[in-house]
Amino acid sequence: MTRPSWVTDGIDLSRPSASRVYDFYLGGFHNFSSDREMAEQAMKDWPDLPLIMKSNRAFLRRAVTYLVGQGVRQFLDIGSGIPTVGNVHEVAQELAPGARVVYVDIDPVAVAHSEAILMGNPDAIVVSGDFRQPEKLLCEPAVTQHLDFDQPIALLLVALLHFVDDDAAPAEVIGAFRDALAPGSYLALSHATHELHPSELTEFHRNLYRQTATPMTMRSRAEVESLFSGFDLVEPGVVLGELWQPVAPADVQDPERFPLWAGVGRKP
Amino acid sequence: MTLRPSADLEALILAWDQALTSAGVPPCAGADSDRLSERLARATGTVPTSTLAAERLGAELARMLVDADATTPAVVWHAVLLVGRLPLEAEILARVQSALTFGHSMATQRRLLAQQEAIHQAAIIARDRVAVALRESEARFRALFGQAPVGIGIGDTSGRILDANDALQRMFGYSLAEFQNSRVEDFMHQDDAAQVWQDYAALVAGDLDEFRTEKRYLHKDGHIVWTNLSVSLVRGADDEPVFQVAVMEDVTERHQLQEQLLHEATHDSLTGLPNRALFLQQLDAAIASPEAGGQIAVLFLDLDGFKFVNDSRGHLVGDRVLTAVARRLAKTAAKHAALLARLAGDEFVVLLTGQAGRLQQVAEDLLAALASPIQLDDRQSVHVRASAGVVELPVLDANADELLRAADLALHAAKEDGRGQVVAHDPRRTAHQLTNFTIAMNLPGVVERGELALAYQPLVRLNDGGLHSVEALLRWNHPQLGELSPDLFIRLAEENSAIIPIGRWVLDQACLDLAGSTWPTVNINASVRQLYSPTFVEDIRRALDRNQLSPEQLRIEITESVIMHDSDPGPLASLRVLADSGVRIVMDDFGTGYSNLAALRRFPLHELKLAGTFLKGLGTEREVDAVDLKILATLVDLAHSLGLVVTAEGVETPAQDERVRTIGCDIGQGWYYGSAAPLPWP
Repeated sequence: MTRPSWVTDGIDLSRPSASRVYDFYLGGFHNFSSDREMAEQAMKDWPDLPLIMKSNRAFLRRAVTYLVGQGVRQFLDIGSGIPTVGNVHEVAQELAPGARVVYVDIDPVAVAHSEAILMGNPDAIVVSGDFRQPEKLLCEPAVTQHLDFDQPIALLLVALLHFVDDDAAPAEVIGAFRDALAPGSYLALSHATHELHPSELTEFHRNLYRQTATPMTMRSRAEVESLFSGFDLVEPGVVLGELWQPVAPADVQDPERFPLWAGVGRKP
Repeated sequence: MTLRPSADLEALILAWDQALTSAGVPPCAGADSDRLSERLARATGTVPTSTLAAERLGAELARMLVDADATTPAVVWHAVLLVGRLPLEAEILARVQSALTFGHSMATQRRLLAQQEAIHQAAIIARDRVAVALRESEARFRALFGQAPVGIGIGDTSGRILDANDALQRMFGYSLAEFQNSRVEDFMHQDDAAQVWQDYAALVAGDLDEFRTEKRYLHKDGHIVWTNLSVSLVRGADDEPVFQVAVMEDVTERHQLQEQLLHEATHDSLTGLPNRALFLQQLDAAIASPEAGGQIAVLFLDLDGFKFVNDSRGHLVGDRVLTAVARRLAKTAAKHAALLARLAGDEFVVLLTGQAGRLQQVAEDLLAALASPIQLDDRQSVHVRASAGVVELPVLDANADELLRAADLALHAAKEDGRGQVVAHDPRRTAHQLTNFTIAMNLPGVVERGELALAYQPLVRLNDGGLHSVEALLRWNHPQLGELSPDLFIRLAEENSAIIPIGRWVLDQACLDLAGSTWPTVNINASVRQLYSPTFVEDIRRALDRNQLSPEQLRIEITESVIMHDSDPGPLASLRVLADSGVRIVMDDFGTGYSNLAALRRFPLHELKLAGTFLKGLGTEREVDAVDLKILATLVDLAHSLGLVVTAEGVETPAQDERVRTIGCDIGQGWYYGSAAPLPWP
């Protein structure tokens, strides 16, 4: 398409946005009727959706906790959406005051809202950006000034990549980020999958997201594993989100109800 | 089942877990959630006894739930149910449930309003940003559009022109209003490549997002504007084509320069004819794409003695002659649809393709085109002739190098056979031709290498048999080819200027040899080229002085070809000066060329030599043609009446001796009297 890059999309609030739909599932009110209508329609066929979202949120919390435990103090969270309760900076900074976080999102409303939330927090910023343009993001002054690329950084792509289609070559994009990261950096991601539910259900869900700016591409476990090329997967590898380092293993019930592959890898 | 708080905290936690899960809050959703059910269990573990404590418990439960994002009505439903199972008095239970419902509803409402406010604010900010970005974008676009040095035009997909910037208006000479009343197709040029408009059609149809090309346009005043054109499609939000943007850079000057450079690289600057490079290119192309049964013919054409024109009249005149020749040849070549090119100097080449049989006609027409003299100005005219070598082959057998070499050899053969000829390539001639090339290649430096020698032949008085003079005859001891007679190399030497040093060497050597001999005089041959040499007279004087010879002891033999150039005063003046000083001037080989008796009077001649070929008929034993004899006798009489001494050349038999005496010759030369021999004479 030959539109100059400096002409941005308009803001169309009549169109649902993935980040606001997610916020609704998490119990937030940072959403508009179009978002809620879509979410409610989805829940009619798949009542577990709010639980799945909360499960993903819980994986994010455990992953960040793990990463802080590994000594990581810098986080690049791409596709951060509406950073409500229990977000990266809250978890990381509670465990390690001064931990630096850069949120990146493509949705201008999410970015504007994140700015409001992060006001007064000098260690966490948000920038408007697109995962699919790693070169641009990596030389964005706000990013390079806030993060020290000579030190380990955790790249968080949580519930993001199922909004990136194969044409955008997500593995290659991850490779571009990986090359820019210092040894000892991490990649943490979770990814929706179609492998555990009847195809009518996942297909219906994918169709719903067609009305958003970010249609869905669900991927298999093998595909998700291949995204960790150049990273060493930490225990227990790419597994269902519920099974990734659970706080109370005994309490994990019906992990298949939450069809997300999740994993954390370390750049050697 | 009634819950017994104080007895079993674990049971309470489990109850809250189930309640939360039923309400859509995950049971194992991380530490936070666990702590939530635990905190809820602990709060509900203490049984309130007063209404105040009951209300406080209800409010606390509500705050915990909302703080943990458990904001849905289902949460209230399950929390109220769970509280109902606690062992509480009706009034206390009602207070707890009322406070829980009230608190949850209140907090949720507060949170809802706050978050809705926040997200609306965020939307407004984001929209403002987009608006600002669009305004800036529009301003940037306007600046870019207005001030761009390149022409920019915007049209819709139907081809209507919506806008054109200043640069484009200047480039094409149309006002904005004129552009807006035009359509893109109005700017089609008849010579546009078909691809341009195919691409255009694909672009407005949305099948092509952009294309670039070089395209010419007509300026309003009619002249051609060459542009580097780039056309892009702009799509709307729905991805449908909306606008087309054409960006044009005026490259007219560059284009003209390129054309000019290309023309210069492939054309001869003097005559404007295609040059060697273009000729070879066309030749290769003709060979590469033969038509069935087609012939390919190459014709080399070389002006006879052009070097002489150049050297005697100067390069300016030479250039004018070449230009005129080129014009005439080009006209003839065009008539035959042949390609004429100038290879170098006075060498032209013609390429002819198609059916066989036209070549000889074309060659003859080309030579005929030069039949009439070339008028340089009111006073001067030059008569040039040309020789042509031709070769013709079926295209399928052709090879560019061989064709050119064959035509070149044929050309040299044409020159050999006498100028003004057309000679077709004959493979058998090649060996002989190669010899000529070898000779021409070795001519420069022949004097310095000491490869020249002189032989002397006596000229005998017929009345008393005494020695009249000797003629110095040149030999070249060629390192590969052996001894060469002047016939083999003097004409080549005249062509490439080697004649001047050779002539000077002959003069010096002959004078030196004369001084050391008992001969009365010596004859040396001077070529026309030498007569044009400004130092010729001085060279002779110096050679005579150096050997203490008197001018009367030297005879200069000139040929009839001098008469060809009799409109030029130079050679004649040199001869007069020499004759006045006492040097004797001999007309050599009379009878082979023009035999222009009238011209003889204008020259300061002392002697005349009848050409050997002239006397050929006199050598046979058969009955001598009485008429021939009569003509020769008359010629000798005439020479005598001009006061000229007459020498008969090529006398080889007693019969010939007798006859030359009969017709009145004074001097005899030839094997009969003595052959040419180097010094020392026996």
